[in-house]
Amino acid sequence: MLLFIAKRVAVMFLLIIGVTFITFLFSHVMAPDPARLWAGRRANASRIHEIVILYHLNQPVYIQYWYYLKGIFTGNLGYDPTTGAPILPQILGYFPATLELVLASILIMIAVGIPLGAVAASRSGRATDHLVRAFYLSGWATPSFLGALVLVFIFSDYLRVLPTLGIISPFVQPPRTITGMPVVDSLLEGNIPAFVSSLEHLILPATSLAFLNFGIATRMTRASMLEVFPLDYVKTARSKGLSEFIVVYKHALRNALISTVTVLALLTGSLLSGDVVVEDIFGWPGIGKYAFTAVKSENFPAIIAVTVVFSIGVIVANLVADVLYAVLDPKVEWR
Amino acid sequence: MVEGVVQGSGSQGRRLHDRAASVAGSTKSGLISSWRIIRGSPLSMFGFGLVILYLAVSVAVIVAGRFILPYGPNQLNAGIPLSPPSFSHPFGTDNLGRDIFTRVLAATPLDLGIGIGVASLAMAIGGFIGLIAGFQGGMVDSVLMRITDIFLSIPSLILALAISVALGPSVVHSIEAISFVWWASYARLARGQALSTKNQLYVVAARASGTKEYVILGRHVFRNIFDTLFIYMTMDIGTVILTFSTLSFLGVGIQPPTAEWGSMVINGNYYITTQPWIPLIPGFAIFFAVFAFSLIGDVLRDVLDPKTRKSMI
Repeated sequence: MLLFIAKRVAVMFLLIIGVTFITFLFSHVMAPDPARLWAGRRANASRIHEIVILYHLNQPVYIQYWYYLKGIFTGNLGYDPTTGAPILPQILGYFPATLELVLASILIMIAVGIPLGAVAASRSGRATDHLVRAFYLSGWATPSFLGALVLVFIFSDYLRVLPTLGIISPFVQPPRTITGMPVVDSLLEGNIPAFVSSLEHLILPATSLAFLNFGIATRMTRASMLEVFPLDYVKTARSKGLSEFIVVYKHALRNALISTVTVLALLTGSLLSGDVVVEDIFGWPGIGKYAFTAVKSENFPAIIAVTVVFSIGVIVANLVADVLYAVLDPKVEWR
Repeated sequence: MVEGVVQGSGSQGRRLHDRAASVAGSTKSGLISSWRIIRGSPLSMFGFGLVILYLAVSVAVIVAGRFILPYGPNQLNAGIPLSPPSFSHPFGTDNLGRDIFTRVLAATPLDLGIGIGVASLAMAIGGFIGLIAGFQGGMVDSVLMRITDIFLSIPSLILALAISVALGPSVVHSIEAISFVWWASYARLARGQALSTKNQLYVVAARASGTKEYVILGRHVFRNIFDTLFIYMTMDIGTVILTFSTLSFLGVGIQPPTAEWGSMVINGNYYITTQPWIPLIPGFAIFFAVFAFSLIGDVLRDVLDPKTRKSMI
């Protein structure tokens, strides 16, 4: 088992190096004027010259790549062109908020998507199945900005029950920073008003992020349940006279969940993509909003840094999925 | 495709080869049976109708746009700015008095064209890479698939965003950016299909009867995996449209004043609470386009997967 994990970790590092190679390729080689890109729009000639020295842009390409790679592995992801501040600390500062949002949306996805998939599978081909299909495909087909805007429209204008902007109300005493996630922090501190407020702020963004993606959880659950229904052990359970409910939700769903859990990890990429838009619309102070602001202000080093950081996130999630799959499914050999 | 597998378990090499060739050449009948499946479900018929509608609108706008569209897509003050939907302006007007109905229709060929174009390009590139990897195996397979893995681990929207910014905002650059990241999932799919196809009896039989490798690759393996790739692509067209309009929403795709659904939503963003039709109608134009393509693909995918197929039929 240790060998299995060690192998996967080695592959993970190779993948990360591959990702840096791609980001390097278009930020240093394919880009029409790399120095101006890294220096920012308003840079003058002397500033551009400084940037060329700073990022070693006057060196041969392979040496540039060496410095770039070295920078990434030593935690130097470049500098903000306007303020000159290093980028990695900024991203790490925004990280907990994004983590909170993504985790919450995964929770919603599990709580809504998996039962829906199970229902659709047990009524395969009938009206309920079509309805569930229409529902999850409409989640899939909703552009992330549209879904978020509709929620804002409904809740800010008509219902006025949930806040649509920010991560916590400015009128409550914010919790001390422990994990950086306000919901968790305020709970740890026992600060009830802050907990309620931050939870209220979390609901809409997490729902709109989950809505876009739970189709995949539903699909996957449905497909893998349809896979196990014809198997002997399900037939046995049925012929023993167990109720349909027990057969579907205890026997079939349990097995089907193995592949669903791993697919959830594979969703990280699309979650992080949607995250950029959702955070912007809901004014959520996370990495996605940071990336959006960086696009608007042409802060190119920050965009590249977010690309690298998000890709590492996806790669790590895939590693976790791999290990989880091997742990959950006894048929997988550790090799 | 599935019939091919069943028939392949016959006996004599030469006869098998003939039969395999006839099955491999029957992409058409594969699509006909797909049509039967689409017709079976009311939901996918709805999707199919929508796709036809979108395609018809695109063609009509390209061929006779000037005569069909009630106003010019960029015509300022075609009506009173910010007026709600009415008879003269079915979808209302935006803040500059442009007719939203006209703009939504005028954007259809652009968005659809980009969706179909990028998805086909990705299918061609990814399909080719995956086919070679799966068929060749060994070192070639490992190298190609590791490269594919790298691309699959970068969130596509973020990478496309970064590339668009690096190259400078424009339609062509955002198309380049999406295509650059899009092929990888096709490569993965094609490779898996090629792997399972290349050891089928009819391929072995073709090889035994002295058929050249590239003929086997092109005629037997490729034609067999084409259906799968094509159906995946149908579903993918919607995803490309989504990504492209999101890029426009983020301000790096289409530049104003060109009519495009995503950029119409961002331009109307500000009016969401007061004149909601301005951002919502182009938003729903995207929604229905993606929904329609996904519906067809989703139904067909169930059928293609032999494991779920068994319990469906």
